[in-house]
Amino acid sequence: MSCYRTFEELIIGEELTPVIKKMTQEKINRYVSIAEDYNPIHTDEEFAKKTPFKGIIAPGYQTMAYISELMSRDFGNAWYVGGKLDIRMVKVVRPGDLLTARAKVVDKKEEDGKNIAVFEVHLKNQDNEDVIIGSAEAAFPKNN
Amino acid sequence: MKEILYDDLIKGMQLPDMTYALTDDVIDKYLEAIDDLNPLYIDEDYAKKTSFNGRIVPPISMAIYSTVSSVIKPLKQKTPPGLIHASQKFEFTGLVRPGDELLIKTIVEDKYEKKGRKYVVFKSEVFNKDGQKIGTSWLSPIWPK
Repeated sequence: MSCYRTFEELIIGEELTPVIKKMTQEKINRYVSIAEDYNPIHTDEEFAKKTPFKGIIAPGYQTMAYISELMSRDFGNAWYVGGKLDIRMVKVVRPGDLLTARAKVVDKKEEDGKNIAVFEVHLKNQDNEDVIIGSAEAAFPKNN
Repeated sequence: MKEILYDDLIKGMQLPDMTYALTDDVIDKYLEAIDDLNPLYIDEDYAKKTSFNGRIVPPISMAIYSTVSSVIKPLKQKTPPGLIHASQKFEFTGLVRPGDELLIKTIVEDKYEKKGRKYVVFKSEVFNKDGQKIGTSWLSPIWPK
């Protein structure tokens, strides 16, 4: 699989190619049925309107997958085995939102015999507001 | 079901073990929900030709069985309405394969109040049937009461 990025070629400050996704009510419904998360805040507009969120919101669990997709696409095994994600949900996501997952290389280091690339990660909405912020790491075995 | 309150959760408390089967049906629906069509997850012929030697499951799928409602379920209790998922950490340590039967061990790693909000941290370690740890989730909700 030569499509994956190597540790050596990453440059501090470099932005990875973003992943762009549209959130829909159908995707939310599918997600909550599989996660058995029946909180009506995700599916019932009448209920959701009466909460402080004033409308349906997507589960944070669902949207963080877009950041993982970006890391999987670029790093393969260095993400699947050795990946770390540390994020905060800072703004709600609504059905219809257009979301962009971004990652920027902020550090490269050696730890426990592995090469570690550290990223600042964001999920932004169509108004360029952060909905998720945090950091991620991919771990590359040495001599690979 | 009775609601589980912040005061019912004790730091260090171990929740009952859970098992979860990653069936093809679960995986298909999950991939549709996250809108991820990576052939490594869906196309066995393709995946066989890669260094993974067969399909894998995206490790972030851990999020579907380490939810607050999932980890509380074996206690036969439910979360109070208004719970907010504030932050999340994952470490991925082993490949996840379709058909894996997973064992999930969860503890209440921490609980604290900050700026008038009640936070809980659940740590869930996930093992495959060979006993290999495939990952760890730290899930931190704001508890409503």
